[in-house]
Amino acid sequence: MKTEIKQKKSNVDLSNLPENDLILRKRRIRRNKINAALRYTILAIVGLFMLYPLVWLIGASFKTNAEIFTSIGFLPSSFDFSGYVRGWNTSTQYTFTTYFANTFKIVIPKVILTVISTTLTAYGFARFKIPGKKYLFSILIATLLLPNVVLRIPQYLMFREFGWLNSYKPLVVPAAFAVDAFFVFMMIQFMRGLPKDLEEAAVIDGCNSFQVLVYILIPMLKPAMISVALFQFMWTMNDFLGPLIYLSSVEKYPVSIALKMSMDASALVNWNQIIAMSVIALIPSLVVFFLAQKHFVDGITTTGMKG
Amino acid sequence: MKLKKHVGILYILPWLIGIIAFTAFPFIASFVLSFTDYNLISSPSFVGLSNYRTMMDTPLFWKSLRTTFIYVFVTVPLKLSFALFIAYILNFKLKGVNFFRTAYYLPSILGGSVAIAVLWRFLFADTGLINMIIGNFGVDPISWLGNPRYAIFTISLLRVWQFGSPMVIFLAALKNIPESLYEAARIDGASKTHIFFKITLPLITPIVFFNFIMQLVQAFQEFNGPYIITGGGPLNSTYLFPLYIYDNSFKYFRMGYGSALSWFLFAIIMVFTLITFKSEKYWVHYDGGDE
Amino acid sequence: MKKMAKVVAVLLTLVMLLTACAGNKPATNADGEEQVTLRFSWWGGDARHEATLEAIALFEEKYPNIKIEAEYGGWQGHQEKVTTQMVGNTAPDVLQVNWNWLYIFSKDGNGFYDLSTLADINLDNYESAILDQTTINGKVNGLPVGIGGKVFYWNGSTYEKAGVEIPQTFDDLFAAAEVFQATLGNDYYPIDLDQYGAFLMLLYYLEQQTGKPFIVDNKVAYTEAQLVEALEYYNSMVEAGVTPSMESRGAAGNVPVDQTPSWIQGRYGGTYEWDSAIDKFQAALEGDQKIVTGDFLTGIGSHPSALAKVSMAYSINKNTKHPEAAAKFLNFLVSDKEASEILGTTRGIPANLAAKDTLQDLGLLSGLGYEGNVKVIDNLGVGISPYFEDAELQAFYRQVIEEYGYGQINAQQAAEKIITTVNRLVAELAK
Repeated sequence: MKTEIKQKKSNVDLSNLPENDLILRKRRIRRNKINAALRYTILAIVGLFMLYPLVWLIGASFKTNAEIFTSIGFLPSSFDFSGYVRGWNTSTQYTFTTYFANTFKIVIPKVILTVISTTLTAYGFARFKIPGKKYLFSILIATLLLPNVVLRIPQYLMFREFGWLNSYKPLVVPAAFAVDAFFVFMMIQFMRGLPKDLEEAAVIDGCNSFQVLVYILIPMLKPAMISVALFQFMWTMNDFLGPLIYLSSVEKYPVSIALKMSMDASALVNWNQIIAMSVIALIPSLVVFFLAQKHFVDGITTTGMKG
Repeated sequence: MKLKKHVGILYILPWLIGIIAFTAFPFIASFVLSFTDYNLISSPSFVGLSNYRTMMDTPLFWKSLRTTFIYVFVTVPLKLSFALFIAYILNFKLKGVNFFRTAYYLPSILGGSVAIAVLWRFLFADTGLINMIIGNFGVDPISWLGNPRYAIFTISLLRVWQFGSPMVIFLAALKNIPESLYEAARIDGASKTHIFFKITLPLITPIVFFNFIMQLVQAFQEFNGPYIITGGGPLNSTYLFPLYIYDNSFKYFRMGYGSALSWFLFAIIMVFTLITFKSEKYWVHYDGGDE
Repeated sequence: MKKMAKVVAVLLTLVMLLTACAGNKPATNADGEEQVTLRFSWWGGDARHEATLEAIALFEEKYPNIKIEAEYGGWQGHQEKVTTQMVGNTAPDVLQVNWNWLYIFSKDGNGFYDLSTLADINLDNYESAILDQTTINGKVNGLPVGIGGKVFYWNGSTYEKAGVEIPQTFDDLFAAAEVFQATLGNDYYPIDLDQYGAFLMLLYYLEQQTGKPFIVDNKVAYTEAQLVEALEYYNSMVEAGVTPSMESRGAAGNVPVDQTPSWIQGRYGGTYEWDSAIDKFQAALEGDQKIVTGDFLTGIGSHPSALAKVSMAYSINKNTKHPEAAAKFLNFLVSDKEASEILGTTRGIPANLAAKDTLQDLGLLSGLGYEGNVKVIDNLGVGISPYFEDAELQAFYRQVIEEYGYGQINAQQAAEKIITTVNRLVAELAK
């Protein structure tokens, strides 16, 4: 958008302005070019720091154990794909096909439920007068502050009482109830940053609160909701201890547990396999991120302020 | 508007149910346990404040606490600054910005995977990449992981490297600022710096607020980094508090003491959170859009 | 308002559906009268998983009415998993446990099923001294799976390169250090000792000298003066270049030795390692370097002081619904000829004599692990306290030797700390 405006202006101006302004215009264009170059340089250097370690990891998936721990370069001496093949097949009764399927069985419902429940809850907090709202909000924040470790055993006992052990329920069902205060808090902040004018106009026009939410707010909250989905997707994919404690059947294991299957002090660990699988495990999150980009690019320009 | 009040409760009903069903019991249970001696096998026995008193007398407790504070106050500002800075740059319509965005987010996706442990050691070991690079400039190899004074910064760097999440959130916030505001400012001849500090920053303060609190909370609860990379060493210089809690709760079977430690951490994080919340009215602007 | 009611109705239905689906999921049980399903859990690496699954398949063939559900994974998180299961009474019927867990989960001996009451388990296949280690208050809480010991292993190729004989005494080590430094360089060491190895070396020294083990009657059996002597001896090893200092080791990061370039490339000439783990050390070596099993170093005293302990055990859940079936399975796993062949040494050298004989007959008892195991048994010291491997104590051992190694405390302070802390922790454990 910015470049368009600039071009439009110069088109209009060039034909009319006296010489001084022309020079200023040219200087401004050059300065902008330098700024852009500067930006790219920064991005590239920082990008290098971000990417090199990952490039190294990919290279490591082709290396032998000795190479991984001793050599500096990221190119392996030979491209040994066995890490990927053996890693995928695992030493267990199942392959990563099963494990990835399991991961999605957990992740997808959880993400969907999280986005829905979080948006509803945040709407309640951000836009309504609720009796005792201050206290409820404090409770919301308080749930973030306690380290998870100590909650684990009581939670386990609780889920045992529900009869939910060895199932995905303890991992998925709580998401329907907005237990992730991180996301609720985030959505609340985003909502509070949005102007109320459109909502008020809609209410005057006769919309009820739910319609306001769906037709007015949600379109404006898209980047926030996408963020919630993205993070929950990623964090759930990496969740290790939760599934470990609640799942006892190996056939129900998600990828996060399968990745550590071979790791024991007594045994020889084939690091190329583990790294290869870790690299593959990155792919779903990457794909989701790529797809989510669209919504970050569009941004929110349709706030109605222009119209 | 009375109608609105009751409707509000309906919207937060799922959350309320969740709190009662899933959160209340474990929370209360862990609080009660903090006043007991509980080795997980036999029933807990009540010991009053003895756990809290033991804490004060244990040198490792203080060391861990101090290390955690250092870690938090180094990591959080660095991470947030990077996140905001990069988000700001990525907000411009640059070619290939999609690629950069993904590149910057990649480290965060790796999270706490085992690959990270191998990777970080590869970077910071005495024969690692970093030493090789500085060796090219004639600097002697530094024992990043072996020197108790430096090790904690490798963990800090790990988390700062993973600034992708707050960056994405900042980006979402930046996207919410209508282009019209920028246009108007530019027509008025405002400089980039002026635009950033007078328009952009104020409008995203709700998100800065959010990111600051979340990063603070998460930094105080940092567990994975030291657990998988340094194991708390050398000489407990990276023995962050959550690791101390974990060891006591699950490795040493001192669940009562572990619970007490958790609630102590809870109190500390609460204090900092409260301070931040109290400061909210001084620098956070809501209802963005009205200048 | 109508729309709101609809939303609430949908949400409530969702809640009801989800909780209703909880239904009754009983622990996996028989779906017929004869059919029995047992849950069996273990941890390990690839080799162990494959072998165990094969052995299980064999068992199911022989006993078609018993089905085994395998629950397994890597080491990380396994203790937590078992702990939550024990606390929540949802543990499997048969489980592989770490030796020291027996004393945590079964302080009075009643934490696991008493195996001596199960007819199908043949306890004759175990030496009584070994079986004692898993017997608490007269009740057999677990079957020892293997005995592991710490053995001196040497990188034969490195010593060859230096032109030095494999050390037999501590003096040999010091002599080797001089030659290593002169011919190979300052980054070559005759032996590598990590924190735990260094601490164990203190105990090795003192037991060889005094004939007493570390803990007797739940108290440290050594005097402060003796500990100071041992500590200073360790320090002299560091100063002479026999073993790398704590600080220089730390620079490689908190990583097992077999993953460090120094080991992989042969700069560490030796290690004090578990016999069951040595294969991975050999595999880690670059090129065709070869590890050699060493004799136990002498020169400090006349008492044998090798360290050995039960590595892990198999226990039966005391609340299992099928103790007889579990007993059949367990006995099969530890002594059946074919099973022993399949399982081989994936869990170390078997403690079960029948299994050991099977492996011997098949010629499978060979290699570094076995050689080390034989030497350990020949040189056995008095035996270690069951609390020796407690996690908190282990963390302490590493911490105190690290502090001493980094120069944060001197030998006197370290010795004091060892005595007071170990006494205190053991007293708490023994309560």
